[in-house]
Amino acid sequence: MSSFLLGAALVIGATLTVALHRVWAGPTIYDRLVAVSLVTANTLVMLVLVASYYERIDMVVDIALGYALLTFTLPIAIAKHLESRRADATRGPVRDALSGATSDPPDDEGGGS
Amino acid sequence: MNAIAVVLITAGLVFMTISALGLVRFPDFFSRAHVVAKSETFGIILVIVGVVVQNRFEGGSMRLGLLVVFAAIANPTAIHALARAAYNDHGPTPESLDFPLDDPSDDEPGLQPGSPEERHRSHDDQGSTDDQGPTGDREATT
Repeated sequence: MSSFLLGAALVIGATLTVALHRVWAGPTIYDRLVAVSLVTANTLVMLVLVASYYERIDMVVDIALGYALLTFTLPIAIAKHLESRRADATRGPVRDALSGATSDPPDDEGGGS
Repeated sequence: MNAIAVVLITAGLVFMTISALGLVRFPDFFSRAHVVAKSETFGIILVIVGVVVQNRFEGGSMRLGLLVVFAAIANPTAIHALARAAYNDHGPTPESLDFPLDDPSDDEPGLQPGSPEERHRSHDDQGSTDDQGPTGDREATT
């Protein structure tokens, strides 16, 4: 049974390594963040499995709870930050560029008339 | 008792492997978010419940149950927050997410197929500039 737990932890480590490819090669920042979320969740489960393998589950469960509190709130915080950054961008130079692009045709019409 | 734990942990490993393979193999962002939100959460629940059964509901099993509840709530919430941020940035279609989003100040065409709020914002900007543009020209020419 204990060797089964260690093998399960190794399988989760293999899936974690596969998911790291998406962190490296993800085309958008959201792909990278989703892959990081999966990697941290797999690390949490692997921690619980290794603790059950060494029969120290009393000690490690507290560490796992703290790790879960940190890593499951991390993508929420980064998503909020990305949304606020997008709002600042639409409020700032991007909106100025859009208004400049739309104010060019009235200039041409005024010059033609 | 051990057989039940083996079955639960093996099913959880199958779900987590499917989740990792889908994360690597799926073509666009929303499919990857979907496979991480559902399959990964179910895999976490199955594996930790299997560990609880393997420990015969002793020791830290109460806190492991708390961990299961927290993971079942927080993991889909995190993925949903990421998917909502992506939707608000660049719209619902997978084609609008094809270009890299690392620098948000460079992709002005990304605002065009965006969410309805951004369309309203751009229309308001166009209306305000249409109102202000010709008056400024008249004042400048006269």
